[in-house]
Amino acid sequence: MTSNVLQFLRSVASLVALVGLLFLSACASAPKKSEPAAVTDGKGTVRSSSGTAAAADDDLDEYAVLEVYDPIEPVNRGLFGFNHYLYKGVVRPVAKSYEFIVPKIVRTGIRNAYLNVKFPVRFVNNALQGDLPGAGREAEKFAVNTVLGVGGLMTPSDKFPALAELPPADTGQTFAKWGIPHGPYIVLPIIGPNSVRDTVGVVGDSALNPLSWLGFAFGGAFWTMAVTTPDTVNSLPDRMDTYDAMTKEAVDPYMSARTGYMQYRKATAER
Amino acid sequence: MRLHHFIVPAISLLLSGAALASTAEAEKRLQDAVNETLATAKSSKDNKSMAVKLRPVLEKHINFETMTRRAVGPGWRQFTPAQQAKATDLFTVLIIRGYSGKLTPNELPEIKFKSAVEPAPGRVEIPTLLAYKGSNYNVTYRLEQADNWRVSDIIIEGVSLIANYRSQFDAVFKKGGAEAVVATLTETAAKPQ
Repeated sequence: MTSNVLQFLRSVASLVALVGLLFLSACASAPKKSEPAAVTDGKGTVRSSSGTAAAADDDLDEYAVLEVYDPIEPVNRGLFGFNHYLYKGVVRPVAKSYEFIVPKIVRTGIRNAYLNVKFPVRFVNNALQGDLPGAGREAEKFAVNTVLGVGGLMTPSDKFPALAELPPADTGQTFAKWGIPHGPYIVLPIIGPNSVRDTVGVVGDSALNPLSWLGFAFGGAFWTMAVTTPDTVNSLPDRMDTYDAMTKEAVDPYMSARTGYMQYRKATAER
Repeated sequence: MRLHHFIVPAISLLLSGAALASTAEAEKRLQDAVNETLATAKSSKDNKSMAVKLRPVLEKHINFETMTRRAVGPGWRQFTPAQQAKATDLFTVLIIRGYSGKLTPNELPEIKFKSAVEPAPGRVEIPTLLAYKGSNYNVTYRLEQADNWRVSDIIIEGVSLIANYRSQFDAVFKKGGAEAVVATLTETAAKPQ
């Protein structure tokens, strides 16, 4: 078992080093505009002196075009197209059948339990972002839901206003708060929109996920997959909903997903 | 007591009173819009008839003309009035379809209003927590006052609807101008559901 733990730590370390290298090279070559510009001027200035903003057309620059550093756009578009057919042909049917077979209450329970187990991801990242009160609230929430919520299946913490709506915390967000830029935008096979920074972040999240520790302690990648797959499958309906919301009525689905992802991550980093 | 000791607090009190009044007015307006929309959605047979029934309701509460103009950006000035009208109509179809496509008549979202902010006179932002199908979403409605308070943008989990279309239209406009924007809107609106 000890050798497995060592093996796990070694593989995480080498993965982090590898992606870190890629990341540094990306940062070095990325132009300054890689961070998205503000979506609006943020001031919400009323531009028309008469107060009838709707009638004037001097509000046309209300929204700046979001600049995204996308040096491999043709490759990304190819992968985006591949993912689209994969979702259409495989993922969506699986998600639909799963939603049909498994009652909502069970799906919610599974999601709650997995979210609860992944508490170290949020705890450590809150701490790394210097938000110790936030880390404390995460610890309280974890304790309340584990003890009173039957191992996290339920969320009695919702009854406490201070614990009800804790903001998300992940490693990519921590990097953002540290001032590390996105680097190039990338579309990952199967997973979809991402950036180099956030991909490294996902590696960090997975290293902080107790289920990865458990899997590796018992024998490696197969066990990690075995314990995390229900979480992945359980989240598919939500993921497909998000994908549809971003792309279904878009005039350019690729651009919509890219802008949507970057806006979402910006909002997460500002929380 | 000097006069300005009285006047300064009086004015600030008046101003904050006015601000409160406008956020309250906007909140009331959004609450009505939400109630009316959900009632209409509930009484619809399916998503297709819902989109048809929702249009007049949403046109009352959402300023689609402002949305379209801002989503296109400065290029809007190069649209002919006919192209502007056509673009607004098609963009309205897409927004409503996107909206009604997410709702099912027998399962409607629950919306909790949080306290509104007034970033500038005539503008109010109302954050809400939307619970739907077991998930929670942070949705902020941006309202602006022209003749009435109307919604000019919807921001879901930090993603602004209009900013998203702004990036899409910008690329199309740069390639083919107003004609290309109208053409791509026509094509998207004609896509089978």
